Amino acid sequence: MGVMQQFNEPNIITTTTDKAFNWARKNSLWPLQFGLACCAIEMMSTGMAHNDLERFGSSPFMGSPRQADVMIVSGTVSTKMAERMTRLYEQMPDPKWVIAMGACAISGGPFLDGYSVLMGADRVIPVDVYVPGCPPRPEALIFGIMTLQKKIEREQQVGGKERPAPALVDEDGTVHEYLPEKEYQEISEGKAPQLEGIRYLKRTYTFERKGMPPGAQTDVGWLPKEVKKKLKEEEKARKEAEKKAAEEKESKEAAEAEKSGGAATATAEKPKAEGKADGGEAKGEAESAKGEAEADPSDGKPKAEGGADDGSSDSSGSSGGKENA
Amino acid sequence: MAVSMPGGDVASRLSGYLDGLKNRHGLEEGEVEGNVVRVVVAPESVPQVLATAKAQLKVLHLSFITVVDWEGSFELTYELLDLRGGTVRVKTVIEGTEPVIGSVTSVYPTANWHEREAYDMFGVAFRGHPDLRRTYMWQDHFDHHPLLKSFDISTKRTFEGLR
Repeated sequence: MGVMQQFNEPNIITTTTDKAFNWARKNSLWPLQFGLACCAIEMMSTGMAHNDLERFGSSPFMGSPRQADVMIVSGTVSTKMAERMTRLYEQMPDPKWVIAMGACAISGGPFLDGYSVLMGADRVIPVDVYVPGCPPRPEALIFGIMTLQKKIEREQQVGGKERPAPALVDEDGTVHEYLPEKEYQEISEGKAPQLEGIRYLKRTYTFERKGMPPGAQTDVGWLPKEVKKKLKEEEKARKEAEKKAAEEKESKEAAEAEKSGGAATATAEKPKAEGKADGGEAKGEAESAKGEAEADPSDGKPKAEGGADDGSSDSSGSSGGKENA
Repeated sequence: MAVSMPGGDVASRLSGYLDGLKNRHGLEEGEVEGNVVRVVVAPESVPQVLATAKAQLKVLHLSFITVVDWEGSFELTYELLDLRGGTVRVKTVIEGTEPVIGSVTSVYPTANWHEREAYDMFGVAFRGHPDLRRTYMWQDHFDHHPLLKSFDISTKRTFEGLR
């Protein structure tokens, strides 16, 4: 740990605050107990005795986001769950990290085309480590946590927020720190000597978004072309409408100033806005009308009978009383 | 709940249910098939039929509601259990693409969530439901009923309201 110096007095170590804090943080990671799908089973297995996550300095899973600093997104994030997940993330105290576990949390996985699935947890919360697999083995998750620990080791307490955190691997592929992944690569590529009678686990996981354009493979904010076009057009139309409205307003005001009062101003803008609002409310009104149609004769009968039934159920108590009497 | 349930073996109970429903309502179809009483009724009379089944025939439990989108008509099935091996299956067909049917929440309270789910997935409007909200899909940004045949699955769908 950092620069150690032996003084005459015992128990003195000199080091930087970075080293001290990071050392403490990385060796007591408290993950949030947050299982979303089948990956959660592997996450449980990771915490159990066989794999024993605690020997790597990661304490048992916490039941409250207030006590956790690592969120392991283990499973498919549906669009409805995304809101809750974000809330849990925001409830966690700083410093906090996120591990996206499995294909679903990385990109949507096999449910990519689903109407309700978020295409990766990193669309809503910042992810530190991605653990591929479907689901990843407990070893893979442990490797992810150890990678996170290495990342934490490199964090800076002062001025670290402004500067982007240094990456473990450069864009040109230079590795700045020892990664056990390197060893595994050689094994999977058949370069390392293979022992007889031992079947090796497949260590490399390939993952790609099948049926998606190459832009979607890497770019997180990727949108389909049609959607981009549509958004652009919408934006253009909106800006033009604003411009027009402003111009009309100006011209009208000028006209009014000439007339010195009289007709109402900015009428050109109002009817548009009202029309939109009406369109939105029409549905709600229709639904409420459906709700109000309770007085329908077809419902009268079952209600009365339901009431009668309730009476008979209530009489269970009274009949008991009679027996006692 | 003190309810006097009809006695006898399954076969006699099932025929009792079928006769009870036949005597009180106009059924389009009605037969006993194995452990199931299959009944087809008009959509308007579904609440009354289920009320009869609950109050008079003492079929206590509504197990589930299924919906099938036949593109132009909707087939709703209410499965009722008497909790002793007998089943009453009430089927109805609603014509049209915007189905509306009376709610049975006042008869079977458990229908509340079943009907909410049917509304969420198929857009079936239940008249008289106390709180017809979506169960699964999010309320905002999603104006579809995903199990309809007319709903096409597309990646673009995922981006609605999420940028």
